[in-house]
Amino acid sequence: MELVRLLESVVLELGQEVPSLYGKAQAQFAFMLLETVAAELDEAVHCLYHDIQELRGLLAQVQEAIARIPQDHPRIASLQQRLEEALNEEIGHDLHLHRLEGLHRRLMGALEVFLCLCEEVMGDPRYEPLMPLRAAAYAHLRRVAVRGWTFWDALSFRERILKEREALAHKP
Amino acid sequence: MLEEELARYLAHRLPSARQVTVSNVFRIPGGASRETWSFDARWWEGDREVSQGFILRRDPPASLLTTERDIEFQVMNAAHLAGIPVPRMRWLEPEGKWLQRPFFIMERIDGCETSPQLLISDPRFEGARPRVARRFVEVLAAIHSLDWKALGLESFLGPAPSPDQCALQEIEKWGQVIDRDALEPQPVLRAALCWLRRHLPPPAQRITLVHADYRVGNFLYDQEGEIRGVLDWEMAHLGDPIEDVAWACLQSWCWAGDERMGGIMGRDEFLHMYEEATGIRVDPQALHFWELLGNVKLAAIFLTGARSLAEGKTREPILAMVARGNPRLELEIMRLMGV
Repeated sequence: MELVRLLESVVLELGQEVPSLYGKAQAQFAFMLLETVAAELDEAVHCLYHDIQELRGLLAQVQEAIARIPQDHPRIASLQQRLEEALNEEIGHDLHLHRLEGLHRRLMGALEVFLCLCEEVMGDPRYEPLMPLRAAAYAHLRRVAVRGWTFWDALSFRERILKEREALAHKP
Repeated sequence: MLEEELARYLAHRLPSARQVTVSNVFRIPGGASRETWSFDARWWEGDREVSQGFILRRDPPASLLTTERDIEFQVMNAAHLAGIPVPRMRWLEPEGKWLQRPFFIMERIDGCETSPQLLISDPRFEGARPRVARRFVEVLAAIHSLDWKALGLESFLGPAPSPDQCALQEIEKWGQVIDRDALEPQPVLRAALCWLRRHLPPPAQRITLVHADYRVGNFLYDQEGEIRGVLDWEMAHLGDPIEDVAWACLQSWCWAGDERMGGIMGRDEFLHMYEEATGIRVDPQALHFWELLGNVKLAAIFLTGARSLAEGKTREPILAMVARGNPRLELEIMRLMGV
């Protein structure tokens, strides 16, 4: 973290010395990126760990639910395969970021197929068992998306993001 | 170096010119899809000294969009000739022999701003805002009224889609970009594409030229509130004009941080003025569809930038920065999907 802060101050200093408008803009972008890294770095492992646990719980329920729906939709086989691959891997004690990211990516891949299936069968009563899980999946994605905002809050979306955060804070 | 190269190029392009000199070359920030440079040129023609400001748009090593520069050049040229406020296009160079990479040059329009922040918050532009808002609608209406057949736009934009194919064509286009450029799973974007396929809008009421990036921030305006040049035509195509209307309304361009379209006028007022100016009804279902697809498209553009950066094709920090913006787009997409 200290290193990121050091880089930020270097970029700020350089930005002041650069004469061109383009150079100043580049320094500003670089500073904003570093500010994002600084904001996210400290919680990266914690967030990924938490997201993985939540996704594993959700997708385990999806795995159970798809046993209760018709098996003839073309996405079902792919979903089952992805669920097996993603859920077979335990979170374990290795908390290196690249490992957690890999695990998270496989879970998100399964979630992607699941949500596409949900959108394609929406309104078909035979797939009704999936719908509460669809809602839970979007709720998870909303929580993650709200967290992902950092410098954008300061640019142009203050009011809406405050509303979103307030709404989420009041949800059980 | 660039000064000399530009001077050599202009001398080549202006055979009757003597003593061509180029000065004040500087790169303009922004422009994530192409490098944008400003420069001044002077030369003698007979006994007359000529001076002209130019804008150079040069292909970068990588960019947000993999569009054809000649389409942008030709459509801007056609729009300029048809009376739309667009900079006068001068030269298109598809080869890299002059400036290392392909480029085009247009005349610079001086005394203008593009910044949305200046427009909505600088006291100098307070009096200009209502006029900019009115002209924003009038210029869009003029673009949508162009006789694209008479202008021969199909010869470089490709054949026009049928009215019931406009939406599907755009879904497929941006779905392919996501397939090509996503570095990781994209559950929200892919689910949104499935949602869009099941919620197609009514057929387009008419086929028009679609600018496809028409928004506050993409035009030059002056202190009198006149729009002097519409910029960034690289995604232009023939299609449903509601696509442009919805794009202008995207939350990403609500620069004032509230619901106002582009930060300059109420959304309902904008839609009403547009309907009055064009005779095209803004169907709420169509607007909703195109607004959702607009957010997916913007996210797809950001994914292209992120891939370029990840693959080392570019070191532009703006591409890294915009890639960080996708969570807010996902949030907006889910809101529009009603989930």
